[in-house]
Amino acid sequence: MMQTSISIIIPTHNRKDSLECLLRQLGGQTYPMDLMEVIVVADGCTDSTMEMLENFRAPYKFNFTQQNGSGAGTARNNGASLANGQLLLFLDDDILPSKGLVEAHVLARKDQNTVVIGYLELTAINKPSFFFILYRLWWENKYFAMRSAGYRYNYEDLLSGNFSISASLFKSINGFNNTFRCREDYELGVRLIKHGANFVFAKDAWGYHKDEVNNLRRSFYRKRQEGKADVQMGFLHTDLIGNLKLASLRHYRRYAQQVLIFSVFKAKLLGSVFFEGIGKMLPFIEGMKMRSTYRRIIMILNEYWYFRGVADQLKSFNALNDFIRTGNASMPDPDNYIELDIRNGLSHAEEQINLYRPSGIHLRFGPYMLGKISHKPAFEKLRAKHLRFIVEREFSLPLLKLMALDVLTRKNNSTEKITTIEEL
Amino acid sequence: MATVVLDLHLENLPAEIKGLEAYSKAFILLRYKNKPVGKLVLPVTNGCLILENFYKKIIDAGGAELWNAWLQDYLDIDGNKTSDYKLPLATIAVCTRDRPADLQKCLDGLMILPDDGQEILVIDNSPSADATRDLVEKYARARYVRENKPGLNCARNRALIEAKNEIVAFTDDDAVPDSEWLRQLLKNFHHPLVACVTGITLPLELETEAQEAFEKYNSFSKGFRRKVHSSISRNPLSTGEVGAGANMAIRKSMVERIGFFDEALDAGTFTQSGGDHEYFARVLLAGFQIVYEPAALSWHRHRREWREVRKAIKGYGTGVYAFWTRCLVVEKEFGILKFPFYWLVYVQIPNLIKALLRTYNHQPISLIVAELMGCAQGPWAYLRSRMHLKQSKIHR
Repeated sequence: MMQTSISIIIPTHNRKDSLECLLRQLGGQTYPMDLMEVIVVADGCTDSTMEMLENFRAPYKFNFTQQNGSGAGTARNNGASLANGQLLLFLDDDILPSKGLVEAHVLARKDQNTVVIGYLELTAINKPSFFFILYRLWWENKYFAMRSAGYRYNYEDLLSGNFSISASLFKSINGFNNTFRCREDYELGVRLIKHGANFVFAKDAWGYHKDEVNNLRRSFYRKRQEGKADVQMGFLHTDLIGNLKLASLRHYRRYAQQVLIFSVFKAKLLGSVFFEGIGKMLPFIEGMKMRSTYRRIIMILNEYWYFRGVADQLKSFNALNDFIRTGNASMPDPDNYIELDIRNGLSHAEEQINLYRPSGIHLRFGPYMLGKISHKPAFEKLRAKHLRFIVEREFSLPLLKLMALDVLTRKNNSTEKITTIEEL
Repeated sequence: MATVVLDLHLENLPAEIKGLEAYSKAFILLRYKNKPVGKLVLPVTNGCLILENFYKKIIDAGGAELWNAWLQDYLDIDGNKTSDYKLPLATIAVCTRDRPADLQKCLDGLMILPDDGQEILVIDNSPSADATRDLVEKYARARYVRENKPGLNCARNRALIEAKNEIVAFTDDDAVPDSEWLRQLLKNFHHPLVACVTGITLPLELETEAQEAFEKYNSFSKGFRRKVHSSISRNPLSTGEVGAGANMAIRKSMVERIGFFDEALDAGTFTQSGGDHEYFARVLLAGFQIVYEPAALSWHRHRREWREVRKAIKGYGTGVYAFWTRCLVVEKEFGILKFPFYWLVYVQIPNLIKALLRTYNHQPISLIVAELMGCAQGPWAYLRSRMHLKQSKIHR
């Protein structure tokens, strides 16, 4: 394990100080320096990054290159093409790694098919703004979810700021998609899951993320980029469309839908002025400590800017509808569903799942149908450890009813004494 | 007549319980596989509680929590578990002042907790005699610390300073913890944003009328469902349902984030109470979470005499208004102004009217009046307490 050579690839854009700090911290890693290689890809840097890189003395193998503003995905691909290591570790330029980060990535691997996702903690601040509080909650929940027992990994778990993948797997999957400026990591995640890669979250591979979070304007801009990226994703992977946020528009309340469609697709200028105006009121609302109002407005603005991004790609509401329809059309049930009976306990069912790794399951309880665990595109195939938690989450009421029915049927058929609980 | 407090396991319910001649009612805690799921009150006839007649009521009292517990047991899972969490080390802190008899019961309860490497501190707050110190000396595992500044929050702050471990679990000196108390508190610290965990507190005994009235008026129980509170799930200033300081655990690193307990608040100062709720509010305001874990159970001995219960209720009124005064004056949270209005108009005045008209199940009027008088004194009590604190700091 500790013999693996690792190449750390860092795309960077105008963050000379952060980058320098990161490079120095990498010199203090617990992993042997002679097995480490660091490659920095400077993407259209106009500050003194190149100068710093040229003068940097590294205790590990160090290489750098530059490209002109083609984006982080391309930068990572470039870096990977220069890399010599068996393992590729991608880090963003604004993170501060813990001493054992590299080692933890190596230790968490099980085989060539493993993708290890590391943990990034937001640097804590005193007197956080409302926005920071919301952002931090979203951020921590995302990582926390991956730690829950029985978690089912999906494409949105591939977070490109801190993850490692074997060089051979990265090559066979052709790396990042160059055309994505945003959510290129999710798109890679889709292809990796479909390929059958095993995702693993390693809490010990942690570092601090020094995000300049309080910039509301940047966050709304990002939401717009996400809208665009989702459309691109849908074109590339049509079976994913139904699960994207843009497909949820039809579930909105009628009035909200009308307002959104009007301001996003029809009256773009008017919508812009209106929603930007609301955005400008946010500091005032925060000053008045109106927390729930602030939160609701952020949610509305996020929706607005996301759909503006969608509208940038799909010019009209009709185009969006057609787009969603193509998604619906391409969702037949794959044919590797299996049928399992859990009446006599779950261990047998679990064995079957690990044997077949189905996309979906028809669950029975004796002679009764309990329900269907459906195929979810870009979610990892089912494993034994998922079963109990899925049953608890989605089938608790039908299961309880069927068990009660089962007990009553057995009671009628025999005179055995039953415990008080089951009797009732 | 009195109410007997019973702790029953649903998988082994006896058909009847005898020997309850001194009692007219039974306050029953229901557990399933050791997990508390509900409570109810049943009548005792001729010294005998015949459970068979009440099975349906019992199951209903267990409700959704019972079915959740049963299902999780059947599926052999723990819904809130993470796959990699090791319980952190804890320091148990008991803040006490001149109550050696109660403290002894509490320490006996702490000694039988399973040993997970926890440290036990007794903070003796401004004592008038050595009785507490002599008592603690008898317990080898407990460490005695004397804090001379009077005030429960001063004692709590001292505990936070003296504690060696990451999590500090507080219990009142008149409370006796359940055997799983500490573990259940600790297991909820797995999420990095959880700053504080509170548990459920039930009455240890309901022997006197005053105790029964206190339980009915101001029960410490917040229900049997686990809840995660944050500034997103509720107004951070509304901390009534979040928990009580008699049964809470705090991450020690919180002190660096949001500071210590406010020493102008809580027992031992002019404000009588409110110190715990004020800290909860600060935790939520800073964007952290507080988990209410009903499986972390502790039994509290309520005051036995009417006089003391009235004093306690008055103290709670003062404490709440003092805490709100602090929110207004120190945290500059103007949103607090609607709280006294809502409490008065929607809770206190209706209670008062019901008591005057003697409607069914009304609260005793002496307690309502005590609370209102306490509230009226709250704001000034806080300001006085702060001035007193400043002066004593200058003198030191």
